[in-house]
Amino acid sequence: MRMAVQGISAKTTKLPPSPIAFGLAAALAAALSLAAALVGLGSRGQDAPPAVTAIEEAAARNQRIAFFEARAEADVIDFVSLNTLAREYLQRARETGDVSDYERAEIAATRSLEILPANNFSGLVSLAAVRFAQHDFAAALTLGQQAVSLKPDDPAGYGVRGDALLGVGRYKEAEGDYQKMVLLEPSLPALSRLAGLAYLTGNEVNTVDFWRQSIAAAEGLPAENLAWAHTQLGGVYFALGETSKAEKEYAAALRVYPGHVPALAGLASVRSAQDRPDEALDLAQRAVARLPRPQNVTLLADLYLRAGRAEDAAAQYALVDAIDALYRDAGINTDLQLALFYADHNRNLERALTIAATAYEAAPGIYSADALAWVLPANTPKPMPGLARRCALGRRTPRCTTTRP
Amino acid sequence: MRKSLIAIATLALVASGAFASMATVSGADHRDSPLNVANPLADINDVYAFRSAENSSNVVVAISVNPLIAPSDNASRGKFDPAVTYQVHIDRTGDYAGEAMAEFSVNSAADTLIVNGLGQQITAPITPPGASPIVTNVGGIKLFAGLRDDPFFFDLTGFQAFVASPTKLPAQGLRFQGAGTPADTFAGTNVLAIVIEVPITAATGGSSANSGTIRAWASTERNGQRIDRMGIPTLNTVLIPSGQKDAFNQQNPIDDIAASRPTGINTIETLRGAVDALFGSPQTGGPLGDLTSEQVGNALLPDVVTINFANPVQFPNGRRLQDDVIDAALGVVLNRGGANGIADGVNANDRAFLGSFPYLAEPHGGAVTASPAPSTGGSGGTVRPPSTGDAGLFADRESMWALSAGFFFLAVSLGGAGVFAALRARGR
Repeated sequence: MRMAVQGISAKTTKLPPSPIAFGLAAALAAALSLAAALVGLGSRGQDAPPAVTAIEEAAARNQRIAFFEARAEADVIDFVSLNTLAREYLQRARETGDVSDYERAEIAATRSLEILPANNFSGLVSLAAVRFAQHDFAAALTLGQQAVSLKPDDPAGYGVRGDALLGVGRYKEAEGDYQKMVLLEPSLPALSRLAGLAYLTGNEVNTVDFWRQSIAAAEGLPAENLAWAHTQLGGVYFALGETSKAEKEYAAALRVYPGHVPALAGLASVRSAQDRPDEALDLAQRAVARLPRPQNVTLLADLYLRAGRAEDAAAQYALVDAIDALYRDAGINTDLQLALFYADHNRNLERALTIAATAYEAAPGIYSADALAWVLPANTPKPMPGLARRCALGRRTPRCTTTRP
Repeated sequence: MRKSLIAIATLALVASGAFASMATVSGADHRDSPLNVANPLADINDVYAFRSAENSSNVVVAISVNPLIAPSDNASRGKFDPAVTYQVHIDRTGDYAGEAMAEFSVNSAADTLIVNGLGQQITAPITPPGASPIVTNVGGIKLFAGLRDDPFFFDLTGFQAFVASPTKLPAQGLRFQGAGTPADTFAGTNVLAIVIEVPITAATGGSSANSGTIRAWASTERNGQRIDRMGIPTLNTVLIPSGQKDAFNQQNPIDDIAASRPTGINTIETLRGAVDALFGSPQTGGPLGDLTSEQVGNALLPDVVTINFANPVQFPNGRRLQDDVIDAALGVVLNRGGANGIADGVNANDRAFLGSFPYLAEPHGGAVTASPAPSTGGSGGTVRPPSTGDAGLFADRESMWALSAGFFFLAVSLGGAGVFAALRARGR
């Protein structure tokens, strides 16, 4: 995995080199042979075509990026290519987990907006998405507002603005944006946002239903998007205790996109719950090998712990801090993840509280409130109004459910 | 005390395998929903209409959609959408009602073009990406559908940079000093095209290929719902206020004069004032002579393309592939030409057009060599509005929209007429 490219600022004109050598296509091809064995489910005869699609898509994406990078290189004001690149980098970041692609997207979108400050919808949407990924919800909101006022009939603007609104705790407005978005284009990007919101409000029926609709409305979108939706639904089922349904969704995700890391991690959790620790460990190891994100490493560590391998677990826990530092270098704000990790594992509890409280103060949204609720000590002197509002959204969020401040 | 509580909770989570909660926490962690992928197949980019080089009694009509296809994406993006249909309307009497309509759609496998409205239904195989062009010849009608090089040539990025800073004079074409040299934004990229060649008499309903006038426009539908309509791409976008754009797309040319003509003339007048202030030189007439804003506005609306077959069929009396419509559009709208003219500095396509059907050059990434385009001279014709293309781009849907928005921005920035502040272009 490529980590942050040092010394690149958003003002840099030249794009950092793309990790074509990362060899996603090759990795996918290798994953193909493993997919059926890993999944252990489904009709293998039907597995091959979508898997090949995912491989072709990844290869085509790298070629497309190379094509538009060459154009952007050749023409200093080619905002058209820069906007294409920003979107492609964002999608590739989803697929590879390479956080430096967020940086590339930021550079491309920023440069595009410098060339064309007005009437640059695509640049605004891409930069808003980058800011959201960086947890800079206020900036994402400003950009999202501009996008929506520029093109009030385009669903993409409502998507990024709604995400930012959710991030800053303006839930009703976020819901309004998502509803507007789904009216304009009832496909996965809009439906998945409604599903996420339904989950946060504790509406289990709508959550499952919206995810199902998302899965049914993925035509024309990257295979990763569909795999991601299956994985999200799997996560919902798992949280609801419906392990076998969760297993089916994770398996479906891995059929669509072999080696889809969140699905590997989800399936690892399923196997653990099914008391199949060896398979769980194997899946979690694969997830970490492909994408050493803090949540994957933590999962593996927890599984080691459960298997009685305390030393292996300790090594993984130590890794989390190092990975977090690299994410920070790339401008990805992982404060909340870190706070939760600390709280979950009895490490640096005071710091966890400080981080979560600071994050909540800076952006009192659903995610910061959730984290704060989780790390808040039991002897808090007085209840926090924001917390109450967040819990009023619903009871289903795992941390809210289990926290009793 | 607290530590032990959390430890218990953590253990409980571990024991239950509730790790999925981790995935719901933070940004950049696969919780984020993906962005929309634009589907530009329902927006027509460009429409061309020219006399056939192989048979001067025939007219060729080409429609392009789905722009900026990188050669590596030929297979994935070089497919028509079965949910989208394209209509070409023809008015022969001058009442803008549209007596005839040809409708183009594709089958569910997206491998066959289906044409209705030209006598019996015609089906034609769609040329797959990478294959030599498949030309269907039925009853004097030729058909092609598939990938082609994008015939549109325009320094879109230079134009945009220019209108983003409309108080600076460009150094080369529309580009400022330090902004590089004029370049065709669509060079090296492909589009999906439908090309049809029919006898001119079939279009006009007349008996001679050298007489008769038609007024044509196109529309698109997705799943039976009107999405778009256009005769003159892009410039309508400037003329129609944002609140009326959907209604405009739903209405037909017959209603355009009453609805939009006065506004259009005002916009042109404001544009001219803005450019005059910037360039500091007088208008000396465009490529079609010295035309008032009213004359140009009257030609722009109703939103149809008029072709008089008694005159040479070239822009703006139709549109040949090689016509430099951007320079012509700038000249006509701004009433400028010659030494006082404004041009984008890109005067030809990056690939030579073919001398025979389907005329559009082979797609990039394809194998077949192009032959030089035929040249048919001539000039004159009735004043028809400039057709500048309407590329609803895959990752950049706003670019052609921004072209028109750019015109508009130019007007607002320099002209400052309050009424135009209400106009906002939309992305198609």
